Amino acid sequence: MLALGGAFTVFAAGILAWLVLRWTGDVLTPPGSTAPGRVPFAGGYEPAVHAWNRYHVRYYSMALLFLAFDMEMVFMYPWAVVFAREGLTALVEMLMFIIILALGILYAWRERALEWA
Amino acid sequence: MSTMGLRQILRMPLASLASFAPVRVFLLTGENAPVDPELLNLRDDLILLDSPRSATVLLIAGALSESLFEPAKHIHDQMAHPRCTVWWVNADTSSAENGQTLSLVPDPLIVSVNTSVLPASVSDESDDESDGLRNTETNAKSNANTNDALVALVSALKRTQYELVTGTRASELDICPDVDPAPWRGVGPYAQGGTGMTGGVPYGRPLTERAPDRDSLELDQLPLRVGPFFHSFPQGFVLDVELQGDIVQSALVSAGPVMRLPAMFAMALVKPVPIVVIERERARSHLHWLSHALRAHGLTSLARRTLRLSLELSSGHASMTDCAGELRIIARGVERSQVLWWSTRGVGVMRAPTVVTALGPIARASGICDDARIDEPSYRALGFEPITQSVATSAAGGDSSARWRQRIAEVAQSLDLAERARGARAWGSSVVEGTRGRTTQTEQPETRLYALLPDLLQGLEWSDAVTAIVSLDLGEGGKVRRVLPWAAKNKAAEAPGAMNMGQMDHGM
Repeated sequence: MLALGGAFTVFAAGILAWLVLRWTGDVLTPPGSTAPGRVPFAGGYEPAVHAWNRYHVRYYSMALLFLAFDMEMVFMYPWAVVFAREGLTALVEMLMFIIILALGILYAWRERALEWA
Repeated sequence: MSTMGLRQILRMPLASLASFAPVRVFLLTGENAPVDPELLNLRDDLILLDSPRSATVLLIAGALSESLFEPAKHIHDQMAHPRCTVWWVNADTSSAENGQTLSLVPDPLIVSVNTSVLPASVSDESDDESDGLRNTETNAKSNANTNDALVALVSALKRTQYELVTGTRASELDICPDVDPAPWRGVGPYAQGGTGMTGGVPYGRPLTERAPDRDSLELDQLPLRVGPFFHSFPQGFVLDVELQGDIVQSALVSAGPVMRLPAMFAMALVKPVPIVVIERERARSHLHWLSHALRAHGLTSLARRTLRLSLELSSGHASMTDCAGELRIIARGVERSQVLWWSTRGVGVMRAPTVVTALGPIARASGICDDARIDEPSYRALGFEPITQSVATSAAGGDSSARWRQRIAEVAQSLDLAERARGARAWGSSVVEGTRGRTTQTEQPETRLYALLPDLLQGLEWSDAVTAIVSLDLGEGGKVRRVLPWAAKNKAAEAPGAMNMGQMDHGM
């Protein structure tokens, strides 16, 4: 209960500090609220179109690979709990799992999934 | 307590502290600036910013040409309050030009410099053997006066900042009207319906058109006009790009600064001039570019050191040996920056036959041995050999890093030639080797460079495109510049990859 109270205090203090800093900043220099002040700066000219646009997120395959290996770590937590009791059997099983995944990453590497530029 | 009262209580102690801070300046460079505004980078008491958002002072150096008024007005309104415009003007500029710039902002603070006390850097009339010595004395006087002009400006800027933050000077109001380009249009009572991603026209701007991308997908294409006051480009340079993500799909130079040929090279087209002065000017010009390029890549400390060396060279105080020693230290600093080589290696590759000859250091960085000095007997007598970068040994030859290395090597070569030249003179013919390649009375090498840009930039990521443009030396920041008339985009579209040079005004 004490820990929860401490966590709540830190959270509340953080929120308060953020509010105070924001308010102080706004009081000292009010944000630009006119139409010309809201325009993004690209050297002087106004943009002709809105900046919302869809483009090819080429790193998605890399992101999926990252997720796969991230989840692999999740499987290793219960394994680590029983590792001391099971011994060599657990080690061999985990090695097989890791090797299969490693072959996957080598394939992805060959297919240039790690490059997106 | 009211917000106004709180503001006053907070403002006074903070304002007195803030007034001691370096002045945050956004610089607009026009024609006939009293002093090279690049020199402001050497001052500790002001900061030249890349964006107007956090600037307190909008500094206009010289007279802005009319085509720059519209962007200048937008930049003024993008600055946060409190803000002020300071116009640093040459007292000799014609009243017509001054009147035009004055119409930009209602009531700018004017800092006038009488440049008649700043002697010209080169005496056109001198024809005897003591040219070099006389120029040295003249330039020494010029440097002292330049320093006075800078000190006067900085003190005016600091005073302005103090008045702004303490509230004794009112912040400037917007110049442009406070209206969105078009009202938000949508369907339904809350403008929630309609077509497109947002169901309307958000902030008055239509959404982008679609076009095939490099992965054969139909995705949005963002047209963007960058410049004329984009920090990494020379002032006055405007690039129309179409981006998909951060990939440049097409690029077109819409406007660019007109570069004046340094006085010594202009004179060399008419009569022979001392090699020592020509080579010193060449070294100074390359160092000026190096300083700008280093700043564009974030190496500001090295950039200031380089700018100081270029100033030393134009003052004529330092011996060529001292300058060569300082250059070696700078070159070592550049070589050691791995981040710089990562960002320049393999970027913006230009090779024969794409690189036309007569682009001077750019052609030589691509391995093309083209230099007008080789045809000049006095240079041959000095044992001059053009420096070129090898393109055979590395896959990335002719790239941005090769152009960096080439210019640094040419500065060292120019200092060596200047030291050994003594009284030797060169040229007096119709073609001279300028700082950016072969130059004649009617044609400057930059005009051909603009035509190469569309092909060079296509397919590059935006950051690489900026790196490639920086490596080309498209102009000296702060020198006299004039914006070219807008090139007809339709004509350029008919012949992709080639600008219609007839559209450009080279106005020497």
